[in-house]
Amino acid sequence: MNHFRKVIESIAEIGKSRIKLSAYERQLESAGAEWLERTSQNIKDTIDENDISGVITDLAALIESLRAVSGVPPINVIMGKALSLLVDLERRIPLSKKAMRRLLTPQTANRADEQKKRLLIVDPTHGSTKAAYFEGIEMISSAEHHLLPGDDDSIQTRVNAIVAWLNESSIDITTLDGIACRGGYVQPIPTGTYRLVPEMLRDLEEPRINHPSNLSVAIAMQLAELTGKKDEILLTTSDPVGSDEIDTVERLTGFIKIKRDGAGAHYLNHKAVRRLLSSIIGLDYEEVVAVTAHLGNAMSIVLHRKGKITSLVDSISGIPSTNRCGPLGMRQVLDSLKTDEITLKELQAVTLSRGGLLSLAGTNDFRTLDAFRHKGATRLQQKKIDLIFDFFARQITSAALKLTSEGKSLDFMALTGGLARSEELVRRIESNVTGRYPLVLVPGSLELESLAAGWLRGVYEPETLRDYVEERDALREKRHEENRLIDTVIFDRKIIYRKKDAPIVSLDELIDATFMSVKEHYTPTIGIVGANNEEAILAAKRANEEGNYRLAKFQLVGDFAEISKIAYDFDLIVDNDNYTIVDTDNPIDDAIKLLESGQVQILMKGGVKTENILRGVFHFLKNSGRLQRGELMSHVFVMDIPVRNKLLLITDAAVNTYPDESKRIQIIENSLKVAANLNLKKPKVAVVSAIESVNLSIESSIEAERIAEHFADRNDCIVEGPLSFDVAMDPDIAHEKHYKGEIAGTADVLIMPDIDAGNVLYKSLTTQSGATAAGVILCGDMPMVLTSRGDSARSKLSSISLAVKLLFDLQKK
Amino acid sequence: MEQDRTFFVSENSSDGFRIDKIPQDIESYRKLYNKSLENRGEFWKNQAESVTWDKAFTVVVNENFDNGDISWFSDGKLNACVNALDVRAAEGKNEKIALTFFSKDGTSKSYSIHEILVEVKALVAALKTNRLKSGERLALYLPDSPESIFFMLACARAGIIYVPIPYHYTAEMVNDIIDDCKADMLVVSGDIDSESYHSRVCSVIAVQDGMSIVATGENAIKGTISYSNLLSSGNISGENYDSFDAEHPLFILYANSATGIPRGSVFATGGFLVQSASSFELLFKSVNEKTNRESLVCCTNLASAAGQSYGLWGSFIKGCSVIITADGENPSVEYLRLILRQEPNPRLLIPPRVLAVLKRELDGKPLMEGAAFPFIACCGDVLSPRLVKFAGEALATGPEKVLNMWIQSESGIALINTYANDKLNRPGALGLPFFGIEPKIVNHLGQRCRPNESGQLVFTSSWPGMIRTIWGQTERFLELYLQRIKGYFNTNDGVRVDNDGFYWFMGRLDDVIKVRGQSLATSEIEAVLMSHPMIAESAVVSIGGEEGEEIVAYLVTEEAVQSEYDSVETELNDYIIQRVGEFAVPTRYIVTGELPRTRTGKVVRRLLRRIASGDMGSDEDLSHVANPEVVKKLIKR
Repeated sequence: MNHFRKVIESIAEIGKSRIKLSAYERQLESAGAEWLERTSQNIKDTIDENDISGVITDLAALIESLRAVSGVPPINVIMGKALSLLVDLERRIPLSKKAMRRLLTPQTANRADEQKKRLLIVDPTHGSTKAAYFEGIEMISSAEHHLLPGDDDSIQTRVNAIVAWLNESSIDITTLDGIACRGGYVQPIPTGTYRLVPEMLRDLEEPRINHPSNLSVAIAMQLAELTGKKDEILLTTSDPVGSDEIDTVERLTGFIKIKRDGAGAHYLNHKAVRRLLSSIIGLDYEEVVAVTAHLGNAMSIVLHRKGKITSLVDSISGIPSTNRCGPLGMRQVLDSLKTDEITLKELQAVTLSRGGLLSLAGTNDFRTLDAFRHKGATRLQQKKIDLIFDFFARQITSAALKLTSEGKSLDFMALTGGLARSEELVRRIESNVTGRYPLVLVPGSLELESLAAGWLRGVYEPETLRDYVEERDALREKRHEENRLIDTVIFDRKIIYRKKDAPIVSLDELIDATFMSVKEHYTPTIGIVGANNEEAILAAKRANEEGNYRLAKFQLVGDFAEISKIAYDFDLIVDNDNYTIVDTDNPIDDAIKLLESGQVQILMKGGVKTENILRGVFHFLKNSGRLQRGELMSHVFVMDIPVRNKLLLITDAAVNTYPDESKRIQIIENSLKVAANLNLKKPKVAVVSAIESVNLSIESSIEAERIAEHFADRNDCIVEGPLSFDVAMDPDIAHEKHYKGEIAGTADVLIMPDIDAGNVLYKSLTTQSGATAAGVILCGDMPMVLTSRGDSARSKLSSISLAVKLLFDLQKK
Repeated sequence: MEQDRTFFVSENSSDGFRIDKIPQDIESYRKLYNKSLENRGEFWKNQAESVTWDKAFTVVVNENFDNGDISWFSDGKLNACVNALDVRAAEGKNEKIALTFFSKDGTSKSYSIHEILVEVKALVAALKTNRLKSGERLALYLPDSPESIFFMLACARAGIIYVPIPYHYTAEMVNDIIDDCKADMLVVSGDIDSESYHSRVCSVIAVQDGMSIVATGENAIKGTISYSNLLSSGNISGENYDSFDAEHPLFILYANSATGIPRGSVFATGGFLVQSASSFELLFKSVNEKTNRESLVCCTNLASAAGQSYGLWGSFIKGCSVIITADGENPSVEYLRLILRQEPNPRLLIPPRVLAVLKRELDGKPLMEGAAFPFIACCGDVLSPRLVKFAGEALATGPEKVLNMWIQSESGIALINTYANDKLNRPGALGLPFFGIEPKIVNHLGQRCRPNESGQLVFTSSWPGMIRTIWGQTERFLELYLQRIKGYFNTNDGVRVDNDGFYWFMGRLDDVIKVRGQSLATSEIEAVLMSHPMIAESAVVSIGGEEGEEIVAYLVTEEAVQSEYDSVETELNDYIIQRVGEFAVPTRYIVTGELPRTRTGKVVRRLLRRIASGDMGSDEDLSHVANPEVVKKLIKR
């Protein structure tokens, strides 16, 4: 009771203060907004340094006092606006000197300003090369050199353009003290400033991702040659796009085979924004927790924590942008791929260059879109444009908020890049964020300044320079360890529950069920007869690798050298356990010997003739009494047809060519064994003919009736005949044709009149309707596997599963 | 730079690490092997003591796989022939039989150390009189015979580099080889009753106008000096001998590489001798034999690495009598029976290919009741378990007595082998690495393969008997052996290693193409294509075409090929003609963005062959391919 009273009391007190507080908050909100609005209007077009400095002082004081009471939405909103204005003003002060100072420690900035070292910045982009020339912390000039149509996009062309520009600007290349460049997709390394080393060039020979900045290292090195003192000057790159320092947990996806990495973020600009704002707000750069969103042609959004970029929404497929589609619903993508509505190529195109705004609106330019809305768009188009702005604003906001999911509160959230200038977009994002965090605008990019700052730190604080090879190898090692963790097996086999003894309705279930039987019994050994055969080896490989579990062991019977070679080519691990080679020039005889001695339980046909192996097996089984008098060897296909909800057995489409009535009765008996093995309780067996009633001119119909008659008093199965294929398979047609029997479109087993009909049916199903077939030959108490080159991987695995599962059943009896 | 490794002889190594006996089980083998690697310099230094040095060496090895500079015992001096003959004569074994030759008619003739020494000294005198100097080349184009061995020993004594050419090589190849090594003298045989050899010799003589050509045997050949005339021309004393640097080339072995630019592997005197002797000692003498006279039947051509290391130098230095027959590499059943009757317990050195022939001929019956070879060593191609079983039952006293050796012409000596001991022998296995040798199995990315995972066989460091360069073609040496996977000596063999450390051969990495009856490995064409600046990767396969085999080259270009396709083709053709020869020019080039690979990065050549010959269905099982879309694209084409 006591506690309860305290709870009620506290709530009441908080409520009272809240009322008071919220009055002040409202006042702050309106007065603050008013003041900021007016100030920014006043100073809008001013470049007078004194005026600006005055406002900056006021703003700094405001920010300082806001920091002390930060945390609630109205304060965050004001804080964000104040910071945005301050950033804007500081960057207006001539030639970015103020902003440059923010990126450096005061000592370094002062020394740099005194010594005025000469630095060239190189930043190659798509179709152009940006370059800037710094003296100390002052950017003296900058330019962008476009590749002309017809120019080949080579390192040399770009080097030439920069040299020409230096000449035009009367900058003597030999007086340079250093060069800083973008870096590119070197091997993954933590962010930071690195000295350029030849190893980078080697790694960039085969970059992970193609990107124009990959050229920058080579360009910088060539320019260094031209200075005539390449060994004396410092060459650096900072936070290249190839950086990667994300957390382990970020590397997981919902699919074990796909791991994420840190590729695809504007590391350089993100880190510059972090530096700039930490300095302005007065936060420790290494301790800041912040989200920065680079909104440009490509967008990337990252979380800064503990001095690192620990998680990100990448620019390649993480978020829709002006020309990239971002993440799509996998289900719809799969459906569209399946129905050929889109092709893989198209998917690739929208992912990389033809998606996003371009796909939604037919332009990759938000400004054009905005302008068109006000001038020329129909009402409907205006509505769509609004929708598009809403869409992007939500995507950006949710991506940014997603990065906060770890729970840490943010010091700020910043929007940077060219699109941070779009009022339409920014306004929407602001209203989505609703003061959760201070939202700061840093439009454009600080990339050139940041490269210069990295270089200057390298000169004056050489301990900040990182060693590429060391960091690369350390990260590689770390990732390797992480991969081991991520790939650690928990259950070595996916555990899926299924009712025991329920009918098996798909080949996937068959494979699962076989695995369970193997666990329950033992792992049988399959002898591949004539294993110097690619198909057989591939099938055997599947049986041991699918899902990392084992259905059978294999003895590869045949020529040692040839089998070894195929095993080599297909990465089959011959370990004398799962796979053992039995060297012989007489595979059939030797395989039967293995069968006889019990070393193998199942045979599988490899590179020998079917008739030869069947003959050998027949004699062996007959002599050893494992094939009873009157028993027949026959083949059964088990078909998994996409439109049906159960499996279909077809027999005999492979071994018995034109069986007579008594043979066909045996064929049915054999197929019943397979049906039982698939847990079909009372299988419906249709003896197929061209028609569903006896017709004297169609012999198979007469025979079918007699065969059905033979099974009439059996209660373990329903055998009916003659049935036409459609009546056996389609309930509607059976109904329409007034078929009276029990099967009526629901057959489990089709007994085909002869090999021609059987083979045509099996091949039409596999080639025309996407069916998968598993096949087995019943040889007394031994199942035999037979696969062919045309079989898919799934089909081969299913055939082996069928034989293995059948083995346990047959030998029980 | 880091690749440069040197081992010096350490000061206090007198009681150093030495292996005299082969261990009897895998555990002790492994311990000893690991020790031999840890003390690699020491190990080889001690092995080198089995050879007599005129000047001791102080540097064991200096190796650099970046630039291909490899030298062993480089500041030591020795004479190979003196090691084979004089040293043994000085031990009082003058009268010991060192060589027996079985002629076609079934008669045999034996030579004692003393007899051979007299013959060799006379030959040295004759060679000197004919102005052959140290470092010059003498080519031998004749079947294995006492004379061919005399010539090899004499050359070694005089520092002349001998070039043994297998006598089945075509006249064209022989001429190419003579031109390539710029031989100053050629030795042929006049005794051969083979019509085809005779006509080949005649056409060589016709082309090599002005060269001194010596014909051995009774029958004179026009345009040649007879062996007896040569011997009697010697008027300078052959008594004294010179010592040569350890790295002085001992002989050059030419690969069977069809009509292209010949490829002569050069072997150095010191290293080859040391490793031959030590390998012979540990492999061939590890069998307990109760016999006074040790002998070896050499059914491997002396013009091969195995012939040179075991049939000649290893045997002679280790005091084992060599038996050669006029049947050469193809001994008949009768011959082997004859030898078994006449020689007490000889060892047998034989290629598996010949075993397969014998298996067919004997058809389940043993070679001889009551007599068997105590030990059979095989090398040359795959020794399958069923051949081991056959040889163990029909020729020897058990399958464990049949051992396998991995030798390639560039390895010089067996680097991986089984031992005649049931714990260290497994039928079908290549064997265990020889002491001091460091093989490694790596995948396409240069990563080490796990046990039983197959990959490419490479060696991480050099060995004394290895090839030093390709005569006159250092670039090609680097391209073929040291550059495909950097930092290793590369081979073209796919192998795996089992859990006990046995190596197993799985298959060659490339195709072997038959051109005009000769074979050429497609990897040679690949090595050349990949050295072209435009080509990033290539895979060359052969397919059966209408006129024999066709060569199809798959190319991954550095950048999209922009110029006219035809001109690229012409350029590549010229490039291959210059470097390998006209016959190696592909019938077709197929440019692809990527090569189809398995998950471990192996190029799936089977698919490439089938794609090239149009034998590919559109929805085949490609589950073993890591990048099936590449295959689909190639098929569509």
